[in-house]
Amino acid sequence: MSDAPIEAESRKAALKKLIAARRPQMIAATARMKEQRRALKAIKEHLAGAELTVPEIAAATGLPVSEVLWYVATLKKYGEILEGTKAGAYFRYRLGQVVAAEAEPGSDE
Amino acid sequence: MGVQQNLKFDALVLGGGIAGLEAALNLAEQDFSVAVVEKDASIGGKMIRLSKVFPTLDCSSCITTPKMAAAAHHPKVTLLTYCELQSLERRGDELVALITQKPRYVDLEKCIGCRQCEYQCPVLVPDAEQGGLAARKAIYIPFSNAIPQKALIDPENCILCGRCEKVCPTQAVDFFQKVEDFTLTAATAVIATGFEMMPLEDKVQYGQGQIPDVITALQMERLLAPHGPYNRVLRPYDGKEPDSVAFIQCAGSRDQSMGVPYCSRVCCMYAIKQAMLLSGSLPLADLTVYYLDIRAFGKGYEQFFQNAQAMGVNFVKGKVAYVEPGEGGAVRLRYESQEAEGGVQVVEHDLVVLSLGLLPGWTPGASCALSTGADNFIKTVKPKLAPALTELSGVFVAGAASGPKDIVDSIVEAGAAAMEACRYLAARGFKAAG
Ligand SMILES: Cc1cc2nc3c(=O)[nH]c(=O)nc-3n(C[C@H](O)[C@H](O)[C@H](O)COP(=O)(O)OP(=O)(O)OC[C@H]3O[C@@H](n4cnc5c(N)ncnc54)[C@H](O)[C@@H]3O)c2cc1C
Repeated sequence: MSDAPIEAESRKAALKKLIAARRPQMIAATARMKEQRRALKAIKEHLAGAELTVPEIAAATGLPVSEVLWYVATLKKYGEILEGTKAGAYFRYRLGQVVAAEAEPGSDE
Repeated sequence: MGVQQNLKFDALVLGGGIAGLEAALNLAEQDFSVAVVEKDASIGGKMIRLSKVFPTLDCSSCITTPKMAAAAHHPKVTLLTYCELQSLERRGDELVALITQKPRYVDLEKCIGCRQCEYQCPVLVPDAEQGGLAARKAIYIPFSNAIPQKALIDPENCILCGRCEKVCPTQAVDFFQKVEDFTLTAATAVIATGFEMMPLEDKVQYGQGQIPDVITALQMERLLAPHGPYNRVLRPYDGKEPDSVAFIQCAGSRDQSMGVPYCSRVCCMYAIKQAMLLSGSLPLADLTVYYLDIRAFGKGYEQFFQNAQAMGVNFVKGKVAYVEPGEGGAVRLRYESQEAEGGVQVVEHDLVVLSLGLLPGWTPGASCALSTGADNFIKTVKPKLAPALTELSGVFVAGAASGPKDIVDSIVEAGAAAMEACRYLAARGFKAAG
């Protein structure tokens, strides 16, 4: 028998142990991640084909306005949305090309 | 956990901020081997996190990055990042440090800093490097010009989904890394542990961090930095470009009731700097600095202050007693005016910046026989004639570790501390470069 399956087995056991040890943090982090996913999905849905300001996104999604800005800043950092034109004292935001293509009807998402 | 390793150097520098790096480079240039022990995942200290620096308005990362790179590439300097000092004690001629290497869960040798893991990670975490105003991932590189440019995992937020591991082109992710203790022996040490800003959470009068448009001066540095959270100055409440920005000076400093009776020394100048930078990026905004006294003590600083006045920054002499949320994200501010109108005044601003007091970055406590002054910063025994000398023979201090100071003074002190350390080494037969 080769070493590889044995290594894989012991790795599996070690990972199980690690998951058990970190369970409370993982449960909390997973809950946060799920909430973040919902918020991100709502923001991206409202930006599909539209250019909106942070207060407009907040009004459309029902999310608190400062939370929306936090997500928008983050999505911008990871290249998922782009800053658009200015509307008064606010900037508008739109989806980046890759994300916009994913949001097209008929795409995998 | 047992101690795994013993590393030996001529000198140990504790803290990889600008003072520590300058001291380390000076020592290394004299051919002494130096270890820089840094608690964060990157070297650079506060300076690498600033936007521009007073009084020259140089881009901070443009002038800090070359120093960081010089230290990283110097054959005589070893950088030990993400390390926690447990103890530092003198044993005969040697100083022995017990240090804990915190796990990054990423193999430093293998990681190529490509960030693919970061893009794949599904968990968002408030990014302390951006003052919490945007998010990072649970696996992340601390910031774009961090040194080392290597990823690390934050186990509090990692869900062990394995995406980072799958996408890593060099198999650098290692969920099983453990804390490792090691000892480091050196003949001399320079303490360059800098400062921290006082926490806002317990300051009821300043909103305890619960009012989105009341931010700290370090957060404002991030807003002004080119790679800041929004890449421009917006108010954190709703992304509006602020029409009026207020700076509250001595927010905690020079106030016994808040535990910081001393002057934090750099706040007047950085607030003036930030107001000047804002007048460039938001030319129509009203900029007001609420101050008790303006302390423009360094070379060119008074001129800098006068330039700010000439640019239209409004300086109001008065003590701000209270801030509270106003209408639509505004901040209402109550202050006792010392101007002609006098009395208690109430005004509103779009964004308020707090010049919070500076506290020591590290206090030795039981971990080391170094003593501290009444201000809790490292005590210097000859503050006038030899400001780098501490109570412990062979241990010197540089930068804000001995008290709040600006970059110029930190650099000068780092040179002095390195010189003292060189002299100390030479007197004990260690050979400097000829
Ligand atoms: C908002 C703001 C703006 C500023 N703007 C300017 C400016 O424009 N011009 C100017 O001249 N000055 C400015 N300053 C002051 C400047 O930041 C300091 O002069 C400078 O950072 C001091 O450098 P330092 O290396 O002594 O400390 P720091 O920059 O604080 O570096 C200390 C390092 O030590 C590390 N450390 C701490 N404890 C330990 C430990 N126990 N073990 C290992 N490592 C440890 C820290 O992580 C850090 O990397 C500003 C300060 C603030 C708060």
